[in-house]
Amino acid sequence: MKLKKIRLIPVIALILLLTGCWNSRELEDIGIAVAMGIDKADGQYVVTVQLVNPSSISARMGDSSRAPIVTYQEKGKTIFEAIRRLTKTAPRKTFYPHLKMLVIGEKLAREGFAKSLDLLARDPEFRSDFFVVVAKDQRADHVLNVLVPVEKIAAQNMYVKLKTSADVFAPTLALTFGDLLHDLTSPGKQPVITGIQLTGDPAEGEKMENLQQVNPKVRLKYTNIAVFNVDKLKGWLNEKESKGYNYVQNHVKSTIVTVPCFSNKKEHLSVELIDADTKLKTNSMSSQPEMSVSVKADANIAEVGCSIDLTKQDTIEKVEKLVEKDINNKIRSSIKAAQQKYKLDFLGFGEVVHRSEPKYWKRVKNNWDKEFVTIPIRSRVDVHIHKLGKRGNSYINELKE
Amino acid sequence: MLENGRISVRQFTVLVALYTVGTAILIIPSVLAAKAMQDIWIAGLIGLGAGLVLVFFYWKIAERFQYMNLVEILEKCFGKWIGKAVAFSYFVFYLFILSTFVLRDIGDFMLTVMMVETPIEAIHIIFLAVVLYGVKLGLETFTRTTELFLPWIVILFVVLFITLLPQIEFTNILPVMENGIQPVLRSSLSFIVFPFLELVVFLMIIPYVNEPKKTKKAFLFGTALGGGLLILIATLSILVIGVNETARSIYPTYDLSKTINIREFFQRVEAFMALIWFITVFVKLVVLTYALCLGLASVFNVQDYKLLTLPIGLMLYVVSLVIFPSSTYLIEFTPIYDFYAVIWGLMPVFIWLVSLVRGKPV
Repeated sequence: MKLKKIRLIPVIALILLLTGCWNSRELEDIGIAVAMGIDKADGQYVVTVQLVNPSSISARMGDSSRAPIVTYQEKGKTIFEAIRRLTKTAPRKTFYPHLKMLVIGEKLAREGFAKSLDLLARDPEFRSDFFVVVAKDQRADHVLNVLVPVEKIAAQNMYVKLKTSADVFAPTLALTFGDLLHDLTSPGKQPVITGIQLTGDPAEGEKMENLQQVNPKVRLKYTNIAVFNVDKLKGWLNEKESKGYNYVQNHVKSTIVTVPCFSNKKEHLSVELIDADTKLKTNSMSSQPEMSVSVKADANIAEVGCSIDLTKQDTIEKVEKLVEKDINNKIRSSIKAAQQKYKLDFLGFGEVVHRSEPKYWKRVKNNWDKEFVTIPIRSRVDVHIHKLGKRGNSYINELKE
Repeated sequence: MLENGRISVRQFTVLVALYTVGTAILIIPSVLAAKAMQDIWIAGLIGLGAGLVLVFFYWKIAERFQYMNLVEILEKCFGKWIGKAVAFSYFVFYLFILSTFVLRDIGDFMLTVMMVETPIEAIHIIFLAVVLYGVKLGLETFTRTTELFLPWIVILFVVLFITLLPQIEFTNILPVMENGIQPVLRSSLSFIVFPFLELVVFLMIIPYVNEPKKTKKAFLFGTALGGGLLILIATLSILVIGVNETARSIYPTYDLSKTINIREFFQRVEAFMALIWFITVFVKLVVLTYALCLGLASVFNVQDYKLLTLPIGLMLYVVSLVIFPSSTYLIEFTPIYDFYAVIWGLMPVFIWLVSLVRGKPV
């Protein structure tokens, strides 16, 4: 019995050796990639990877004379080849689970980017929750080479900025990689991607001086939404159309609507939308196909720049009408862009038709974009104003003449 | 008596439920989504209905043969020698092959998404070591272990479900029955084969429940519970990650748990969620290996089935490594396996017919 127990010891010892540290990667051996940019040059992909520079972002030991991020660039026939070639220049093996941003250069976006992204869906190191943006009028590497203040890691800065602006202003779109894959393959919706733009000279943005200024010369700024035919960039929407797009998509959580005062057309008041709910509908699509957008929104008065009497129900109703008209205009402009300018269904009406009229959909799905432009779309907006903020009438009403 | 241990009816239910969830939890969403698309839940319900009928039928056989184990049933039915031959091929060509699949599933999973550079042998050895240890300790012990694991499974399932609620998009399951009923039925066939047909292995366990007469309800309830969880997971993955991504993904349930993200705070918990299938795969493999050892021991009149644990374990290890050369092979092989498994899974029908012809056994 005792002998038997002694024999067990080497067996147990072996098990200890077999536990799962095979692919353990120590923190000091990996370069954490936070953003990736893809461009195309000479028939090859140019991959730029932004890594965190750990010694300069640590809170306690932070060495602020060094740049918080560093980028490396390599070319390859596939993304994977380029990434592995990076080991020649980057000091550590790059590590992707913390990737926040994927930036696609405008040139590649115009040529079609979809075939470059399989690695990001296939490789277990990549998650599908990072955001995708297009570098407007730029190469992707220019965008990744900018040093930014506040959030030291540029990719984190871009990530938070996109999330916030999509949440509270709404002409941008926080599109994750998973959503993008869905749009690329769904026959009922063309993809759209938010653009990011660099203001100033790209070369200046790479320097530490850019961080030392109160008003940095080079900044990264989100622009509006780019429209794609599958994976080829066809054009950019303006802010009005972009906002309209987000209304139609039910992406608007909170935003502001500024309308002219009815007392004086040159003065304005702003209303903050606190909740908006959009429904897309189709009729039976049999003889006279027709589709509709209806928006129901709750709002509060946010800022008044003129003298009106907010204590009267009548005034509020007038403001509601103006806000409804404004939102409706934006929606109409995005529908117009889809049906007349680009002739592409980036609004996703095809998916609605697919869900509600599967028989009709089967007939038209192979040339849905052609069918889509001929179908009339009605729109209806219903706004309800609830609160006035912490004042009734504004002090503006009692200003001394 | 080969087995002296006894388990309670309640323990039997838990065993059946977790066995049903087994490896199916990892891949059933993509298996179902491949043909049934967004109608996964209909296919699931039809499959579960048919599965319950099947389970009821298995139980009827156990009852008809007065709760003997499968080998004894076969011997009684076909006579000693033919019975033994049939039992032998049943265990080797169905349950053994199935066990190697189960082991390989967990190995492939670990290698594909969690530890890419680890040799698959290491995963198989560790997993198998635990399973064989369980088998060696006997039915009572591993059943009690299963019972201890149950609360963890329940907690993880509830967490998974609740944390995914905010991301559900109900429009994902529309339109219903876009391509008619046929693809739905084809998918439900896959669901019947995997996992319900595999429940036949419990014919080896029913005899060792302390009140075998009461196992009918337990067997059906356990199956419904396990099947229900699978349908829930499959539907959830359609609702959250959408039908196309579910069908394209090799391990959709893992992808599903990757999407958990509550305010950038509660996120990246997929490794915890993987605990669910580590446990259920363990239960499935331990039940299968136990049945294999017990069955082969009773075919060859080996007095103590525990003698067979190590040799069978070694064979499992080797065959699980060579059975598929690649992931693509597995994907191409799966539809063929469906029909192959039906032949073995429907063996009880044949037993039933033969026993009808030969008259009621004593």
